[in-house]
Amino acid sequence: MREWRESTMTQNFENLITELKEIVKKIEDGETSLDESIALYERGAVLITQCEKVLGDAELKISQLGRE
Amino acid sequence: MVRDRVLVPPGEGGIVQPVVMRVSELSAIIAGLLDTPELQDILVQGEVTNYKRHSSGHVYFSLGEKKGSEGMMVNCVMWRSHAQRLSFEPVDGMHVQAFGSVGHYAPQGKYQFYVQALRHAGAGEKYLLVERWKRELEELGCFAPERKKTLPGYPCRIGIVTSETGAVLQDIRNIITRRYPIELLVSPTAVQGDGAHIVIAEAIRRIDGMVDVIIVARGGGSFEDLFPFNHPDVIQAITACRTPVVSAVGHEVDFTLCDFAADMRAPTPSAAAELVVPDRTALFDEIRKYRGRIDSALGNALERARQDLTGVAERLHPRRMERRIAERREYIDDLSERLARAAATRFSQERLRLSEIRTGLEGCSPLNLLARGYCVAEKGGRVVRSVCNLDAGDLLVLRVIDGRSDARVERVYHDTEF
Repeated sequence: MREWRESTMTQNFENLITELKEIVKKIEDGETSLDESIALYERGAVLITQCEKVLGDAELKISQLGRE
Repeated sequence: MVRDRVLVPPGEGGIVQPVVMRVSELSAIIAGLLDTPELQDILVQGEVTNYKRHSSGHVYFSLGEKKGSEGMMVNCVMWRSHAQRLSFEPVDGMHVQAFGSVGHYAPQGKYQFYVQALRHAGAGEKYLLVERWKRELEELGCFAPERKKTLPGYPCRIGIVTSETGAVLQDIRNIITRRYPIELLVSPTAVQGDGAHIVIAEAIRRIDGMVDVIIVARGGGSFEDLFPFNHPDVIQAITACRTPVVSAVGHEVDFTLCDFAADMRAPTPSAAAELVVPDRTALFDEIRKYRGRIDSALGNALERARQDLTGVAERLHPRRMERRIAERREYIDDLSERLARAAATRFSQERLRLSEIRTGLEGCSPLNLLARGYCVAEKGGRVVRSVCNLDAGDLLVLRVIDGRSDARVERVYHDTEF
């Protein structure tokens, strides 16, 4: 059984959600320029798709460590 | 103690007449009767019921016992000073041994058991052992809040230290499947019996670092059954973990040292499963909300931009430009009119000045004199100003207003005044 380093998925989803929240906040802030808003929106749409994929791809796997 | 009962001497028929007593006297007698060694500093075993911790810190409960269909009960009080020293929080239904004394509570006319200390009934030795371990481990800092790790928000792999055959694993599996199906790694172990603590500690150590979070779980059981989860071996294995640990041993009312050492305690294994994974449906909803928010925020931004554009276009409209040109033209007209007016004024002023000068000039003209009837004499083309220039016989030209004549000087007279 390989050593489980900093879980990739954990970080991934957390990062995705964090970035998404930032984007929502920026777009909602009236100070952001239209160009930037559109760029943020595109990025946000990508993040949403990624989040949904991460969630949708989740499936139960069970394994067991051997006793010593 | 007051015992001055006065008996009326036997009267007729040998009937003893009771003496009238005061309440205080009766109360004092009862208090005195209860104050016997049999009821002082005693240990009573029973089931806790009606347990209540008052806001003052005092604790009230009853100790009960059922004998067949009959129940019996003793009301108990534990003053704050004693209640503070309780090593566990009693709950209704718990079997305990209470140490204390029975006394009379005069204000309410009832007797109570004044409890000074409580301990779990049964396995008394083991309870004491657990309490000793707790103190020792606490001193080692095993339960210190500052060493508690935070659970990951979105774990990917969950480790479960439990029996591979028990219902606990099935419960956790069901809940995780329902909430957020991910990878489970089971580190199997015995969960009760002699030596179980060694196996449990091993199972914890084995899985540490291989998952995002570890659940140490066991179903409900007696104090005896849960006992291995109090063992320092297990506690130290938990404290040594790099991975966050959730303790889910027994039911909600059961506490083991494992609960204190873990980074978080779950009341039951199922609750632990709910604690470690987020709810996928809720996450989907959350993401959908974000989508809605960025959609409407971008829509708003576009609408704002469109409005800005309309504003600018409006300002650049030809009609507006025409109006501005007309305004300018009007201004120029106005200027030229003012210029003309100013020039005209100036001309007429100058003209006036000129005519004034001319008038003055005309006043000085010799013609004026001639017009008034004077005549001018000229001799040799020069005006005669003095008789000294005249001699008899000179030819003069006499100029009058409307012509001239030649004349000859007959005689010259000098005015003497000159």
